[in-house]
Amino acid sequence: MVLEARSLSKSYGNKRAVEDVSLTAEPGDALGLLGPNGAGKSTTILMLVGLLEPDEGDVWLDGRSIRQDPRYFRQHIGLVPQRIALYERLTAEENLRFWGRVYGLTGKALAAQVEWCLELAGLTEHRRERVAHFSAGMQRRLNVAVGLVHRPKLLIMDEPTVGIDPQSRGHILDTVRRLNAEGMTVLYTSHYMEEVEYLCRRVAILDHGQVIAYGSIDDVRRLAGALSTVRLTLPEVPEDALAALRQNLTLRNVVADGNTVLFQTQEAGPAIARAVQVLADHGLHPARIDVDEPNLEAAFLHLTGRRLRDGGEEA
Amino acid sequence: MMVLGGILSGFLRGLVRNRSNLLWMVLLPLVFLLVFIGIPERSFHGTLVGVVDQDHTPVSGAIAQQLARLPDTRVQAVNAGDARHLLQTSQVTVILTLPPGMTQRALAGQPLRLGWDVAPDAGAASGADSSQLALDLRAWLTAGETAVRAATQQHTTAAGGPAAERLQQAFVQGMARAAATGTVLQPITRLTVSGQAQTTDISDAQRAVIGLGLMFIVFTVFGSTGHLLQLFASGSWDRLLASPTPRWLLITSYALCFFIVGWLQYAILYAGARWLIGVAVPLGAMQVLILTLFILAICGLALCVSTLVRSVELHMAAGSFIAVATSMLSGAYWPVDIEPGWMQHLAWFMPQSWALQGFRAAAAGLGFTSAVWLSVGVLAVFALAFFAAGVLRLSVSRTRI
Ligand SMILES: Nc1ncnc2c1ncn2[C@@H]1O[C@H](COP(=O)(O)OP(=O)(O)OP(=O)(O)O)[C@@H](O)[C@H]1O
Ligand SMILES: [Mg+2]
Repeated sequence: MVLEARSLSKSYGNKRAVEDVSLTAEPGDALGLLGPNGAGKSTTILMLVGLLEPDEGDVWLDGRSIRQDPRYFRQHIGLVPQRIALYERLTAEENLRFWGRVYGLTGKALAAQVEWCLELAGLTEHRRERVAHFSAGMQRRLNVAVGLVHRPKLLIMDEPTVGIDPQSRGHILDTVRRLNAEGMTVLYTSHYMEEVEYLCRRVAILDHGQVIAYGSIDDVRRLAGALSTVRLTLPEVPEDALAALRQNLTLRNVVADGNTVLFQTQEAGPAIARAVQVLADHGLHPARIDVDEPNLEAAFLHLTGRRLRDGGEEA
Repeated sequence: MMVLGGILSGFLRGLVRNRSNLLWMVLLPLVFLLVFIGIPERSFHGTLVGVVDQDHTPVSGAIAQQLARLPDTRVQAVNAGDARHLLQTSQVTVILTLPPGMTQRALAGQPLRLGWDVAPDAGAASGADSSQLALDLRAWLTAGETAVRAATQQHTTAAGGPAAERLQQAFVQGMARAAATGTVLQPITRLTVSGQAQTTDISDAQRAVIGLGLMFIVFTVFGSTGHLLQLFASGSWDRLLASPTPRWLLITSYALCFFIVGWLQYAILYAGARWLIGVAVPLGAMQVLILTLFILAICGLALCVSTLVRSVELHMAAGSFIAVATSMLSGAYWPVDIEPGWMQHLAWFMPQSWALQGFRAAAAGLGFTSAVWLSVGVLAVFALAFFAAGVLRLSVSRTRI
């Protein structure tokens, strides 16, 4: 199962949502699509599954173009939409049966797949309960399971863990990781870099509709160089203190995030000493200092000068 | 076909599990039936004739019976002493007094004088009815007298005089013939939207039931197509489109769901009318065809609207407006003829008008005639146009992220 997107572009009216995006997912691959809100992740995915026609570019699955053979895509791709695409008034089991039929399953195969999915979602005990009565985490788990009901070779997930408890999130991540280990190709969209780091071998970072970094997780991490990210927690972050920090050339990408100041640097020790000095001049004393080794978050910060997740916006 | 079955059963399950549907599809229509048709039907609106029979002969009895057989007319035997009081209190519309010796006079060929007292405050409508009654009565008596004269002549040319019973029989038969002629020559009163004259064989109560049925079909079909908007909003529609099931099959399956719900709604009203208030609406092949086309048209319209509005609430508001406004304009609540001219012309564009007209034409025993085919044809065009537009809109409508 090789998925290949070549130079996809899409505009909504005047707004360019996706621009010249090219991706490849090899068999058994786990590719992460990482980007902040509005980066164009969902738009890209809709084009990959044929729900949205690209303005330019094409998508290929096992050498078949989506324009010529959309049915092949539909049969072999499992889609987990960003929203809870379930029938609220039906039970977990009824939902799985419904979607199984829509995906062409019948009889014993259908029954077996429904059992498998219930198990996978950890909902076997709740099979006869209506989705409307489920917790957010249970709904998300079923939402993922429905995408798997026909055992697709390629699973495409659009932020499947938004707004749920850590337990359900862990459950989903472990399930997907296991399926990937068993050979299912996975394309995972998220704006949580920990999830992508946990699940994926390769990553494409999307910003403003463009791929700004693409490659193995390690390669992309290294894009930020050997930069560490330092976080200083302060009582408040006045603008002039921030400006003073930015004066210092060894502190790169200085940004404020609530009561925290972040910056990147080559050598954490001397940089922290210098920063604390500058802040003290403004009468500020850090309550806490954290140092992160190079990671995707750092890479994103390095590439865009912004944080991946803007403070309070996440669900 | 598995997909079709899956979608149908899923949809119907959701429908039944939604408690508010019980209210909207069952309770409310039945309450409407009872309040707007059942109760007025019980309080009688026609002409109530009090008959004071002082003659007590087969002839006087036959007059009362024949009156009772007229549509919208009820006859009540009344004592001469009570007559005045009943009239004054409007408990009867008119008092017919059949004086003693009346039959004798009739058989002897002498002119008849019957009492005819109309209630002072009989409304315009029942006043008109009672004068129509008086005309009918006069025609019957004349026919009876003519029959008696003919019988007398026959017998005088033969032997002796005919027995009084024979003459009475002749009078009664003569009246009956006149009454029968009266029903053959029913007045052609109502013009339909197509401008064709039509006899009104469908009762007001039946028309009201059909009107309610058509209105609730609009409500219900719109209510259930709101389901589509939920599918759009939840991303389920995307998920359906991303499946190997072809788009046309998905759309057809859902359209079939809405169509079934429309029929279900009509069945509920039909059964309610029949067993709750005792109004049986005809339901033959023609009516089934008309309803089918009507429901298809409404499904198509609702599909169109569902692709144009953004929220379930807006969709239902549009549906309610269409249901109420078109019902008013198309003569579901009252005959179109009492509306101003421009409104009557608007009725041309209402599927309801054509459905109602089809029902009336079919019920009038016009069978598969041009009046019926016209209604069917127009409904079919409506159904086809709305449906095509709805399906088209649905198949090009962008998925929303
Ligand atoms: N139907 C639409 N019409 C107009 N603009 C749209 C539409 N859908 C998305 N956009 C815009 O296109 C851009 C990309 O949106 P998209 O949903 O693909 O981003 P995303 O990365 O999935 O974001 P999120 O993390 O919030 O899901 C955004 O700026 C968004 O506002
Ligand atoms: Mg998205």
